[in-house]
Amino acid sequence: MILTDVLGSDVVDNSGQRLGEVSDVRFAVDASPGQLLSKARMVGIVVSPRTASSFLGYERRGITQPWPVAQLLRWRHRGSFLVLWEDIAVIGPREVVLRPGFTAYESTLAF
Amino acid sequence: MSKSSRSLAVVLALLAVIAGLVSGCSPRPSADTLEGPAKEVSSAVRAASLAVDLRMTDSTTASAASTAADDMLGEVEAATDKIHGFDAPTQEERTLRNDVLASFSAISRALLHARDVLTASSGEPAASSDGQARLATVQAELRTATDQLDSLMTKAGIQ
Amino acid sequence: MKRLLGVALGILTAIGGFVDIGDLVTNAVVGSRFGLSLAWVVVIGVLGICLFANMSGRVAAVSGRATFEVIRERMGPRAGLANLGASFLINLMTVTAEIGGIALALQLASGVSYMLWVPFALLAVWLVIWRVKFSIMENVTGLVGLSLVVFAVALFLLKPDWGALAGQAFTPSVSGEESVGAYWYYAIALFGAAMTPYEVFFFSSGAVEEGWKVKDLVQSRINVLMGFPLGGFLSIAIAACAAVVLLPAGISVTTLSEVVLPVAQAGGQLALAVLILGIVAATFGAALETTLSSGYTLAQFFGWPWGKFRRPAAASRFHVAMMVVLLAGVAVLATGVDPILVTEYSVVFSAIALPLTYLPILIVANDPQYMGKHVNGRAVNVAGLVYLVIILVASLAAIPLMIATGAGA
Repeated sequence: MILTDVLGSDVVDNSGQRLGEVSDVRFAVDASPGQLLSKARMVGIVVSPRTASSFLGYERRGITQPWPVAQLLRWRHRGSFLVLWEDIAVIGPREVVLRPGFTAYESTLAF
Repeated sequence: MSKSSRSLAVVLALLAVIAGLVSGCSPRPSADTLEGPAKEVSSAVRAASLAVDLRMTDSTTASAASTAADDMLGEVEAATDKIHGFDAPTQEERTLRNDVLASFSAISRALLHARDVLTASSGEPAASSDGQARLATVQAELRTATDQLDSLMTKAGIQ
Repeated sequence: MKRLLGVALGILTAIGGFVDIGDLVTNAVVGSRFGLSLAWVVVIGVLGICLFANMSGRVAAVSGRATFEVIRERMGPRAGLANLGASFLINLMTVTAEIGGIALALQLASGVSYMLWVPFALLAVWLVIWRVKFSIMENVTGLVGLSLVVFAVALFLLKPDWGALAGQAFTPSVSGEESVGAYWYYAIALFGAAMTPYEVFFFSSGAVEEGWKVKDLVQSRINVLMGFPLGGFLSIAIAACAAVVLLPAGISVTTLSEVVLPVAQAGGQLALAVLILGIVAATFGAALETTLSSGYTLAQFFGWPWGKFRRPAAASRFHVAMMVVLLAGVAVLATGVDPILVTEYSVVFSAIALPLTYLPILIVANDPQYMGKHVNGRAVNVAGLVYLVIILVASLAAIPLMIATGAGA
C-alpha cells in the first residue's frame, strides 16, 4: 500500500457516519535506527471534514503569514482532527473505518 | 475512485462548454465577418508598402524587406482562406464576397511582384536608377491595390 | 572595482535577459494596435516580476531549494503534479516560440525561410546547454541581447510627439477601432509576458547553480531591481516604436518582419543589423533559459540530480528531459504552425498559470523552517498578496476573454 491509496479516502466511524476525508498522514521519525535516520513510524491520519487537499504547511501553529492565506486554509480545514493508528479499525479500498470510542486529537502541530 | 471520476467529469464538462462556445462563434456571413479578414489584408498590404518604401531609401536590407513581403503574402492567403470558409446565402452578400476576394487576389499579385523585386534588389545598390524604377513600379501596384480595397471596405461599411 | 564590474555585468545581463520573443511580439502588437495605452500593464508586470524573482532568489539562497522543489514539497505529490503538468506545457510552448523566434530573426537576416533555420537553432541551443558554462552562457546572451536598446535609440531618432505618447500612456483609453475585450485580453497577455513563470524557475535554479549564499542576496537584489525595470523600459520602447510608425499607418503587427520596420525606418540598415543581432541573442538566451527551466522543473519535481554544475553524465535524466523538450518544440514548429501565434498563446497561458508558481513561493518565503530569520517582511507580504489578487484575476479572466474576443482578433 502506498500513501496515495489512503489520501483522499472517506473516513467513517464504526456506525458508518461520514466524518471527513484523509487529508494527511502523520509520521514520527523515532522507530528503529536506519542507515541515516531512524525509520519513520506512522502515527496516525489527519481527517478533514470538507477537503482532502493539502494544508500547504499551515497545520503548524506558528505559521501565520501571509495572514489571509493562512486564514483561508485554516477555514477550509476547520474541524480537522488527528486519529492515532491504534484507533483505526480498517483501511479499506474505499474508506477508512475508525474504532468505536476513538479519540480525536488536535491536528495542529506545535511548532 | 468516485472522486477522481467526478473531477474528470467536471473537467470534461468544462472542455465541452469551451468547445461549444468556440464553435458557437462560427462565421455568420455579412459585412461583419468580412471585416476581420479585410482589416488583416489592409494591414498586410500597408506593411509591405512600408517595406518597399524603406528599401527605396536604402533603410532596410533586401532580405528583411522580402521577408516582410513574403510574410504579408502569407497573411493575405490566410485571410482569403477564411473568406472562402464563409457561405453567403443572399445575392448581395455573394457579390460583396466576390468583390473582396477579387481585391485580395489583386493584392496577392502585387505582393508577389513586390517580393520578387525586393529579393532581386539584393545584388545591386538600391540607389541604382534601374532598381529604383522597379521598386517604384511595384510600389504603385501595391498602392493601387490598397486603394481598391479601401474603397471596397468603405462601400461595405467596414472601418 | 571588480565588485562594481560584477554589479554592472549583472544589471546589463538582467536587462538583456528580460526581453524575450513574448515581450518582443506582445509589445509590438500592442503598440501597433493600442499605442501606449497599455504601458501601465508593463509597469505592473515588471514590479511583479521584481517582487517574486527577489523572493524566489531569497528562498533559493537561504534554503538551497529552487522553486519547483518548493512547489513539490509544499503542495504534495498530486497538486504538485498538476502544477508540473501545466508549467511544463507552458514551458514547452515558450521553448517552441523562442526557437521559432531565433529562426525568424535569422530569416530576416538572410532571406532564407525560417523553417530551414529551425534545425540549426535546435542544434545550437542544445550544444550550448550541453557544453557551455552557466555563467558564460548567461552573460554572453544577456550582453549581446542588450543591443535591443536600439529600440530606444530608434524611438529618439523617430522624433515622436512625446506629449502624445505620454498622453496615451498616462490617460489610457481604448481607441475607436478596437474593442474593450481585446484591450483587456492584451493587458493579460502583456502581464503574462512580463511575469512568465519560467523566469522564476530559471532565476531560482540559477541561484542554486551559482551557489548563492545569503551574502550574495544584495547583489542579486540590485541586478533584479535595476535590470528588470530597465528591461521593462525597453519593452515600452518596443511598443512606442510600433505606436509611432505602425499605428498611424494602419499596420497591426502579426509577424516579426513588421516588428523591425520602425527601427529600419529610424536608423537604416545599421540599426536593423543591430536589432536582428539583439533579437537572435535575446531569443537564443530565452531558448536556453526555457529549455533549462523545463529540465529544472521536471528534475526538481521527481528528485533527479540536476544542474549544469554537474557533468551531464551525473545528471543524465535532466539532460535527456531537455533534449526531449527541444525535440518536441521543433516537432511543433515542423507542423508549420506560425511561431508568432505560438508566442501569443504562450504568454496568455503563462498568465493563466501564474498563481500555480507564485502562491507556493509566497507561502514558503513565509515559512521559518525554510527561511529562518529571512522570512518575508510585512511590506513584502502585503505587496505579494496584492499581486496574488491581480494574478488570480488575470488568470481567471484570461480564458473567457480569449473566447469572447477570438484571441484578441
